[in-house]
Amino acid sequence: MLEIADLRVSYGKISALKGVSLRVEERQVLTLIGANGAGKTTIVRSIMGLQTLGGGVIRFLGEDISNMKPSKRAARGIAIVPEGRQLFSDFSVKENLLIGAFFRRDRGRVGRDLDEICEIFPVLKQRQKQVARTLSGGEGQMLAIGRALMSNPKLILLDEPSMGLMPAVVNVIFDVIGRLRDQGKTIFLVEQNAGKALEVSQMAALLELGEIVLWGDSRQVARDPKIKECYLGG
Amino acid sequence: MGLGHSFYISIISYAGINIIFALGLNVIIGSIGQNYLGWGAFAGVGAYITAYLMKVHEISFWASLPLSIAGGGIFGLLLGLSSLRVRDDFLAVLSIGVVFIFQVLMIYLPWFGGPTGMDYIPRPILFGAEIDEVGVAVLILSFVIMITLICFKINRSWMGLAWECVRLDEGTAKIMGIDVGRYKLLAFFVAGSFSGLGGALYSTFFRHICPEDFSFMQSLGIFAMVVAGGMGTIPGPIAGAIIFTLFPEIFRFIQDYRNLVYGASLLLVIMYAPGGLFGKGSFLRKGRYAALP
Repeated sequence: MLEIADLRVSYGKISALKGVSLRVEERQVLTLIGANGAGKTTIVRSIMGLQTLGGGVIRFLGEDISNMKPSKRAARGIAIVPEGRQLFSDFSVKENLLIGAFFRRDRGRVGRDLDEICEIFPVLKQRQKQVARTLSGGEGQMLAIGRALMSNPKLILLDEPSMGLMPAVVNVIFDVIGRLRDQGKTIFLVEQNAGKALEVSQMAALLELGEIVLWGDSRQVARDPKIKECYLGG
Repeated sequence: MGLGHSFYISIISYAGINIIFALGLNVIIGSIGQNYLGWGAFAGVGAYITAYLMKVHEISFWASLPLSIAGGGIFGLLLGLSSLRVRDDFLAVLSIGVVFIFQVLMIYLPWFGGPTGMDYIPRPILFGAEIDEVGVAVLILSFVIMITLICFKINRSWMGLAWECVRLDEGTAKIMGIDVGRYKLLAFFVAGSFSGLGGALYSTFFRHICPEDFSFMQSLGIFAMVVAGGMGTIPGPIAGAIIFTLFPEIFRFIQDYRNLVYGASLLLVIMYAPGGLFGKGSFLRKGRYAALP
């Protein structure tokens, strides 16, 4: 579904991505793990169109989207759950969810989907009228995921969902991601929490200093000694 | 001219025109949340287009009006384009500059009557006869209703929602994929068009316009109507326009201190009611976006 070939991004003289290639197949959860500063969020931003590319191609459903505006990419079914949630803090839970549906063609169905999302995340239904800034970290993350789901996306970009959350809440969020996986959603998951990420995904890639250094089935990657030592705490 | 029937007609007409101006400026300041002080340029373009076409080329009001609206809209787009390249605070400065440049142009260009402006601008002709004051008042009020309805419709539409996202948090809006630039341009176009419409009505109502009518001080007056009335809402600018139009007339003694009143009221509003007298804290009311599920 998503194909990235030889992606290069620089911030001035600093080379953030030095030729990254990866693929996400349909109905697959691919996780990209790596330390802070490895370039993970740069890849997510590039897929969404928020980053100028220094080289390489991004293809979505066979179409070259490398130069497409973010709005067009969103309209084609790419939804993002940004790093740090990025909710509209002054909007209510319901209004934040509605924004998620902004690019849908079938706007008539939005009402029904709003109810569905609230069924998946009962806490959101409870807090429908509450202002987003009053939500807890975990609730905010669920709202961010719900917002992405509202667009009925073909591909979900999940950028560091565990960031800033308590371990117990992290488990809840990864439960949710697991459920989405079981429903057959296609997810590109970027995570620092390698353990959780490898558990929930089918395929994995390791990004170090702007390059993919490891790639394969998540179980195998988890067993790799380097991964165990550096990313899974021995 | 005494305080007869004619006076009230004039006040109503003037208030109506100011409502249109205020609702127009509100689109930029309230809906999409850009710091913009350049009302004078948009309204002036509309006013001068109609005045020039009607007086010099004897074109009918009904034909000049769309051109005034388009002129205001195009000017709006130009300002909108520059707003994309310029940071928030600098937009305010830029917009002030635009007003002054417009004023200077109208003073020094040969075709627009110079500093004394244009007068004896005709009234619109309907069914072969010139409309009288009452007719103009009715015309203005019709447009007020129309513009108000359009504002309501936009507010409850997806475009209105996009504008609000841009106003609240441009960065987040961009990440969500919303085309911030496009919606800013749309806002400026709509604001310019409304002001152009108001300008056309201004010309034919007052029958005399000059560059001073669209000066920075006048722009500040419209700005005060929006901000003190309640930016971002629809009742807000309407109330602001009515209050600021009526007050100087009803309390004639403050005519000379009008600018003092404007400045003081802005200060008071910022201190005690930052959202405006009829404003709102945020768009968290019930019934918002009723067109959406």
